[in-house]
Amino acid sequence: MYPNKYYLGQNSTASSDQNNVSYLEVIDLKDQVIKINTLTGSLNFQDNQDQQKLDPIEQEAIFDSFIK
Amino acid sequence: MYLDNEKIDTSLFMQGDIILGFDFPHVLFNNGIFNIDKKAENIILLSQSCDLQFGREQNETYLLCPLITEKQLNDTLKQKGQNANQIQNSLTNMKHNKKYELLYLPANVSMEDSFAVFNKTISLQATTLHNKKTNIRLSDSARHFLVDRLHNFLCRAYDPIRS
Repeated sequence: MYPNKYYLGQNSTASSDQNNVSYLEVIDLKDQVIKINTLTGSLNFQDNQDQQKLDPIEQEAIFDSFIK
Repeated sequence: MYLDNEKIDTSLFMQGDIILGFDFPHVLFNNGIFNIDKKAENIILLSQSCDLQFGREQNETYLLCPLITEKQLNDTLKQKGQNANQIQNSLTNMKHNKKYELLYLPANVSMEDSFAVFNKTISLQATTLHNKKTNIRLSDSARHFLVDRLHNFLCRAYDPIRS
């Protein structure tokens, strides 16, 4: 029914002042959206296409922070 | 994001609990030899809450990762030669949870603005938590958010172009 890849993203605006959110979403590659209610509240899961890996300098900075 | 301190039941650990000043072992591999450097770090427990019930269950190990403060990161990015705009851009992306490897943990009364560093995750014996108490506990929705971030980090679809 659905393609074999799913993206489970998160709301990029979620923050400390946004604890009360209303639903979970699973977004498939055809942009179909399934909202899943949770028992304890919810989060807004969004497409995670704008997520990135740490760049090499950021990775080095984190590594250096820990070893010093 | 966090429970009020008086609502924390410190008789048990839960996924997402933060412990301040934990003796965290940094493992370095140099010239074929593992070196372990112990350093006090703030840490977050990543194991599922059931797997953290050491008294009632036969759980012998747990997963955790250290936190890095925004200030530490700011300082080391500066040392790496990043200019103010580049640093601000990095930190903004990180605080908007745009980086797979990090979870932004806003400051509270006992902790500065920080990030959980998932790619520094290790496993330790349960006995290393003896005599430790939870300092900060995530709210239920924040715990869901943590699980979502872990899912993004560990279970995202493999894309050979973007990785």
